[in-house]
Amino acid sequence: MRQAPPSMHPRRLAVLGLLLGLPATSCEPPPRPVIGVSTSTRFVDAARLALSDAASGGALPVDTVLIPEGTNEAASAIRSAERLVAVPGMVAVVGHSNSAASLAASQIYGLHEVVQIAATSTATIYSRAGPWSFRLVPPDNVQARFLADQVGELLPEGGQVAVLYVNDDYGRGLLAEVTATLDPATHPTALVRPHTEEEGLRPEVVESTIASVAEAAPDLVLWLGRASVLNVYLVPLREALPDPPVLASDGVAAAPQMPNGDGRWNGVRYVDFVDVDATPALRDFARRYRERFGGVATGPDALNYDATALLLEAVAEGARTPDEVRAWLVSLGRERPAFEGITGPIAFDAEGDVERSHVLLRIGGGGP
Amino acid sequence: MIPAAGRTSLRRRLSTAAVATAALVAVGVPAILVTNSRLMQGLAVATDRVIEEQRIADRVGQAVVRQLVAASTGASEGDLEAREAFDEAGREVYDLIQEYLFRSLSPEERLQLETIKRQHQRLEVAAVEAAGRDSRGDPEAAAAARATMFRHASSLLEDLELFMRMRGEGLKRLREQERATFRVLFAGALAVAVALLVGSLLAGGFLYRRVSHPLARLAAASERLGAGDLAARIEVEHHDEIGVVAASFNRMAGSLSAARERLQAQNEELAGALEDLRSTQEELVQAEKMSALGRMTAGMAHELNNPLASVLAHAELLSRELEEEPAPDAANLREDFVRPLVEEATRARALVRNLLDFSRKADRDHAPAELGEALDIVVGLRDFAFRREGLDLVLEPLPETWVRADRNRLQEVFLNIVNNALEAMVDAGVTDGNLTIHGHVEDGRVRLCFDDEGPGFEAPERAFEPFHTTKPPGRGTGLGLTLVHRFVEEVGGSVEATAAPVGGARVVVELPVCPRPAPDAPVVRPGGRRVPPGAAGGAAGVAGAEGPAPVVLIVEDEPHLRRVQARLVRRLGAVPRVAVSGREAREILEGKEGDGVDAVVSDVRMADGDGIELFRWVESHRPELAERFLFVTGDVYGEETRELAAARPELFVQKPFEMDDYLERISAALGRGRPDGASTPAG
Repeated sequence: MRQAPPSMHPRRLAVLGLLLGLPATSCEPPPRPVIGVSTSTRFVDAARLALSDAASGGALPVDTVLIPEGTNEAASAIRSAERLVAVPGMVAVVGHSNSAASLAASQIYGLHEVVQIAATSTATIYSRAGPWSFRLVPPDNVQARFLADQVGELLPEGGQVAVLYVNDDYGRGLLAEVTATLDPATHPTALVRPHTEEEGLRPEVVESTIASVAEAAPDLVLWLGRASVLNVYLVPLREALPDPPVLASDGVAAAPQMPNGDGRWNGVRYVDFVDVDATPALRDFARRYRERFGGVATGPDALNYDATALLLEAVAEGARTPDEVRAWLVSLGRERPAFEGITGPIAFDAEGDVERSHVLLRIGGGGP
Repeated sequence: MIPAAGRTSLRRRLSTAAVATAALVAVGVPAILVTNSRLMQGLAVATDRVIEEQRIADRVGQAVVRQLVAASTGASEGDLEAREAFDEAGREVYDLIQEYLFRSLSPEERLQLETIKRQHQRLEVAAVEAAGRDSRGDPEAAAAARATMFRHASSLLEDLELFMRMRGEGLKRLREQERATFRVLFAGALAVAVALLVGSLLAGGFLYRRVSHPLARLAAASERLGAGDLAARIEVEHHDEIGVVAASFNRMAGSLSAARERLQAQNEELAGALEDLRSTQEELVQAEKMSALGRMTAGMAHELNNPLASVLAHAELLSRELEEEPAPDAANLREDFVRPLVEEATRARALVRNLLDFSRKADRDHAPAELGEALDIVVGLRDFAFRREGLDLVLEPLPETWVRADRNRLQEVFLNIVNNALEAMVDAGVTDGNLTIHGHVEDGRVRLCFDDEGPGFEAPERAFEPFHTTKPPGRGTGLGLTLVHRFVEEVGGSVEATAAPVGGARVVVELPVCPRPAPDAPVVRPGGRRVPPGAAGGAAGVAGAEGPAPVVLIVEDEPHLRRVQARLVRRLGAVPRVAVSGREAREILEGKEGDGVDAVVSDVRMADGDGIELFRWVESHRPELAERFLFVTGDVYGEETRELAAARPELFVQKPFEMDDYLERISAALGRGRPDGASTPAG
C-alpha cells in the first residue's frame, strides 16, 4: 500500500488508504493455486505418485494439501473439506474415499465454489451434488445393471440371491438400483440384510447375519458393501454355506489388498472400473506404486492417480482459479480432447460423471 | 486576466458536488433499499425453510415411528409385509434426510445430519437383526436388538431435534444478522442523510461564499456603476468563473472610467470650442452688423449732415441777426430760428438714437417686443438710403403685434433683410423700385413679407446658407440672411426666401406672437432699456418744497453739455455743482461740499475717470447717493455698462436727451432714497 504523506490528517489518511487499498487489493495477483487431496491413505499415496510424476518435468505450478483420512466416515470428510476450503488459493480437491463421504463434503465445496473430483464415488445421488462436483466413475444405476447382468450370468433362472448391503448412501443407493434391476421372477431375493461398517464388524451382528444368510440358503451372495467388512464375513459365510458364490460391488475393489492367506477371498467376484493389468500404463503405475508404497495397486488407486493428474494438467494449462479449473474440466471432450489418463480417456457429461465401462474381476483361484 | 490554468473551475466544482450527491443518493438509497429488501426476503426464505424443515423433521419422526411399529409387529424375518412397510418407511426417512443434504448447512449441522443418518442406519440394522433373531427363535437376542433399535431411534429423534434446534439457531442467527444489518443499514441511511445534510450545508455555504455573495457584490457594484459611480470595483477573491466575471467587471469599469474621463475631456474641449464658436459667432454677428453699419455710414453721415448743416446755418444766422439792429423779437426768433433748430436737432438725435439702438449688442433674454417699433427703427435707419437711390422703403401699417424676442436682434433681422433688398436692387440697377414691408397675424403667428423689385433670388433654397452671396467681394460677409435664419428659428419662427408677386424677391418671416405685456411688466423700449414702472416720473419740479435747494453734482467732460445741464438743473430749482471728471467728482464728494450733494448725474466715458468707477465708489462710500445717481451717456454700452443698465435701467438717461425727459429723470432721482419719497423742493 502506498504511504500517505506524514503531514496528512489521519482521517484523510484513512480515506485515502481505503481508496488506495481497495484497488491495490483488487489488483493483487491471485494466490498460487492449491490442490487438495483428502481421501483414504492409499488413495493419497496414489495422488503423491501423480504429483511426483508431474514434478519430474519441473517445478509444480501448484501447491498441494494432502489429508489422509483415518476413517471413511462422512464426518471425517466434512471436517477435511472445511479445512481445505479455508486454504487460500484452493482451486480443487480430490476426495473423498466413498460416496457417503464425497456426497456430504460436496455441499461444502459447492458452497465455497471449489472443484471436487470424487475418484471412486458411485452413489447415484452424487449426480445431484452440484456443478462443482465431478467423479471419474459412472453412477450406480449403471453398475446395478452390470451386476444384474452378472447375476444372470452366474445363476440359472430361479436362483436366489441374498443381498447384503452397507446401510449408507452407497449401499442404499446401489441396493435400490439393483433391486429395481433384478427380475424377481428369474432371480428372487432370498434375503436383504443391511449392516453398517462399524456395527457390521461386531461378532454378534456377524453371527446373526450369517445365520440369516444360512437360513435363507441363497444361490449367490450379492455384497453391496466394502471389502473391509466382507473380509470379516467371508470366513463364517464359507462355513455356513459350502463354497458360496460371492458377487461384490465396486466397494470391494480394494480386495486385492486384503490379506488372503487363508484363501477366504478366493473366488470372490467384484466389480471394478479399472483393471490395473489391462494396459502398460496401468501396469507401470501398479509397479511404481508397489515399489514406492508397498502393497498392491488397485483400480481406485489408479483413479485417484488420474484425478490428481487431471487437476495438475488443468493448472498446467493455465487454470488458476476454481472457475477456470471447472471450465477446463467441462471443456474436456468438447472444446479440448478428453484427458488421457492411465485409466483411459476422461471427459465429463452434464452431471459431471464419466462414462466408463465396468470390469468384473475375480480373486484368486477356486470357486465357481 | 486570470490565466485559465491558474483558476479553479467553479462549474467543475459544482458539477462534481452535484454528481457526488447524485451518486450518493443514486447508489446509497437503492443499495439500502435493495439490501433491506434482500434481507427481508432472505429472512422470509429462511423462515419458510425452517418451517419446511420442521415439517420434514416431523415426517422423519413419523416415518421412524412407522419403522419402529413395523419392526415391532413383524415377528420374523420372513414377514415380508412387515418388512416391506419397514423398508418403505426407511426409504422415506432416508429420502427425507437427504432433503437436508443439499441445503445450505453449517459444518456442525452437516455433521449432525450425518449423525442422524448413522442413527437411522443403525436403527435399521438393529431392527433387521431383531427380526432375524425372532425368526431363529432367539427372543432374548431379538429383544436386545429391538432395545438397540429403540435406543437408536431415540437417539435419532434426539439428534433430529438437536438438528432442528441448530437450524432454529441458524434462523435466530440470521435474524440477528438481519437486525445487525438493519442497524448497519440504518446507520448507513443516517450517515447518508447526515452526509447529505452536511453536504447541503457545505454546498449552501459554498454557494453563498462563492456564488451568491460574489453575485450580490457584483450586482451592487453593477448598480453603482449603472448609477454613474465608475470607481465601483469588486475585490477578486477567487479565481473561478465569478472571479473571472469580477475581474472582467473591474476591467470594464476601468475602461468606462477611462472612457468617461476621455469623454469629459472631449466635452470640455467641445464646450470650449462651442464657447469659441459662440464667441466667434457673436463676433461674426457683430462684424456683420458693423459691416452693415459701415455700409450705411456714408448715407448716415450725409443724412446727419443735413440737419447739422441746417442747425449750423440757423445758429450762425441767429448770431448775425442778434448782432444786427434791430434785433429780432422773441416771436420771430422762436419761429425763425429756435423751432428750426429744435426740429433739425431732433432729427439728428433720432438718427443717432437709431444708430445707437442698432449698435447695441443683443440681449439673450427674450422679453416681449413690439414688432412695429423695431420695424420703425429699421425704416428710420434706411429710409434715406433708399431715397438716395431713388427707391422707396414702404412700411405698410401693421396692427400692434408683440413677439417674444430680443428687440435688437429683431432689428438686426429686419435690417439685414432690408439691406439685402436695397443692395440687390441697387446692384441690379433698379432706379424706381420699392421694398414693401407688409404683414398680418394669423393663427397666433405674424407673417411679415419683405417684397422688393429687384432681380429676385438666383437660388432661393441656398439664400440662408452661410457665406452664400451673389454680391461682389467686399460687399457683405455672406452671413446676413444666415443670421436671419438662425435668429428667427431661435425664437420659434421661420424664414423663407421666394419670389415676390411683383417680380422681385420675397423674404417671409413668420414669428409666434405673444400677448401684450401687462402695464407693470418690464418691456423693452427702443434702445434696449428695461424701464420699471414708475421709474420715469414726470418733470415735476423739485422746488417749492421746504428746506434748502437740493444739490446735483454734474460730472461731464464736455463743457457745453456740462453748462447746459447746469442750466437745466437750475430750472428744477436745484443747485448744480459741476465736475469735469470722475476723479474731481470723487474729490468733491469726499470734501466738505460732498455731504451736501443730493444727486449725481454723470457721463459714462470721460477723458479723466470713468463714470462707472465713480458709481462703484459712491456705492461703497456714499451708498445713499447710489439711489440718486444718473448716467447721461451716448455710450453704445460696453460690457460693464450693459450689465449695469440691465440691472438698473432707472439710472440711465440717453444722449442726446429731451429736456423734459432729462428733468423728469433728475426729479425722480432726487425723490429716491428719501423718507417721504418726495422730490426735494427748490429753494
